[in-house]
Amino acid sequence: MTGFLGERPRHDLVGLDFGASGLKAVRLTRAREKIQLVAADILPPVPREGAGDRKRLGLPASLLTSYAAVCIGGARPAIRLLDLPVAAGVTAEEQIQQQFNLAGDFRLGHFPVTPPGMKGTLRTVAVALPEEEAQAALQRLAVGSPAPWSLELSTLAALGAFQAGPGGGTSEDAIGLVDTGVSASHVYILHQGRPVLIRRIEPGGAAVIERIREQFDVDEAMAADVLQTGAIDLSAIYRDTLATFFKQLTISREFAERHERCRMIRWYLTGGLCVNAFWSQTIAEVSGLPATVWNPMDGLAVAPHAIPERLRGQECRLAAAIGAALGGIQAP
Amino acid sequence: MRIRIDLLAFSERRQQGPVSTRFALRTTVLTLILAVILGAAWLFFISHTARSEIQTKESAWRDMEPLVKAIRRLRGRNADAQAFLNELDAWAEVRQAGHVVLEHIQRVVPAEMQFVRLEIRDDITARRPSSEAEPARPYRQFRMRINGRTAGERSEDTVARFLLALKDIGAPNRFCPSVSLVSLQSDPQAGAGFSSFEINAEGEERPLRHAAPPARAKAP
Repeated sequence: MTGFLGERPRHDLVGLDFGASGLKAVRLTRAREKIQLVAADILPPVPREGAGDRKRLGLPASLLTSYAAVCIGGARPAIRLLDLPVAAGVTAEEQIQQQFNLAGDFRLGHFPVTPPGMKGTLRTVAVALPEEEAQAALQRLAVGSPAPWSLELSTLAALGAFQAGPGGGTSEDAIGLVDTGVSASHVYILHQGRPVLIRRIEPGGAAVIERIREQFDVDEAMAADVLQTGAIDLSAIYRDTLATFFKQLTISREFAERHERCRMIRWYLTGGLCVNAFWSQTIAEVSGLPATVWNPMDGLAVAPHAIPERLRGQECRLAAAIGAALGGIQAP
Repeated sequence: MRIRIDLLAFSERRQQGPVSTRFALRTTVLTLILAVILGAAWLFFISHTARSEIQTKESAWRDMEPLVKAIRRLRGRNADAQAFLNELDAWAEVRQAGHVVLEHIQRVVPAEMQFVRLEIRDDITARRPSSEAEPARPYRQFRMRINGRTAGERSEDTVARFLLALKDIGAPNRFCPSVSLVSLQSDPQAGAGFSSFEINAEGEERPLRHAAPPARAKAP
């Protein structure tokens, strides 16, 4: 029953980000080319079920619509920026398969981002998603509403939303996006709207929570609360826990500036750690560049009461869900 | 540029409206089943009602049947009687009563006249039809034959007056508009001054009215 679906964009779509910290859901509608956010929420994480389990996804009525743009986070999906030689007889897909050197069943996809001046090389953003994780999410949408409309990687969906906002500029200067997840963070450096560097750096926000829990001798929920309220300066914990991350961040910036012969001017931050005010401050101090928490709802019309009061200040966690929904509602 | 890599296979997409396909199918099937059940129940109800009504009517018919048959029988008799009455009326219409005729004749007979013989007939005759397809048309005709004598020398005048008077009897519906003097001659056997005469009188043909057929008995 897919023949009449076509590729036309939907007018009402819910973006679902299956993350380790929760199921982030954002519902967007489009009327007369105006996109409006009508509902959003962060629900408890969806537990991983066994194969063949078709338990339906319970969504609040305000988020329930016919189709869902799904994105999946986690440790196993992989994303890379590849420069592939344009060789006769070898397709880009085959080269991507060799580059990833994956064992097991994966879904592969890529999106060419070759700059206009680059000759003889295909620069492409390639992703690999374990089939098992794709099925785990899709099984939740196998029956009833919503039906799956698209399937993306969470971090790439967040990048898509960023490119629809501040990341879509054509400035000569480069900008970076830091998307912190639970198990790892992704760093994207964009020059003239195209990614010139993509890097996945471990650990992620979970390590910070764990460190807070150990240092203050509190449980996990309290540790998350400490992170969110921002009452305690966590700069030292960030520097200590995420030393590798900061080192990689600095190396990535230097590499991109040298390789692309450009200058980085700003970091934009998204993801779970952005709820803490000291996160952007720490990155700015460590990298020597201004760091701004990017609100993915900037530029979107938000309906009254669309965001629950308890989510105020956590809008940055919805970047991937918004990006997935935007991608589906604006496609092709 | 906006990077978007959709990893969903086209075959994994499915149509999803405000209600799911399964729900729509289930609803359709349930509606059809419900419609069939309701239809069957309605037919059963109609059948049961009709059967009950038939039983009631049959019971009523069993009670009324003898009465209806008696009514039919009586209607038949009534129709026969009515036909007979019509026939009698038809006869009565054309019948010329003899005493009425005699009473009128008595008034117009002159004093000088004596009837020797008076023959009155009111016969029924059937006229032969012009074709075999037509039925014979019966009619009645009044006929009178008078033999008598007159006294006196002016017997011709006496007979002539009588003829005129006889013709006018019953005017305007005259009994015998056709009156003819058959013979008038002196009667020597009766004596001098007596004449004997013979007169024939005929009335008009009076066809017999067809009696109305007996009314057909109607079924109750």
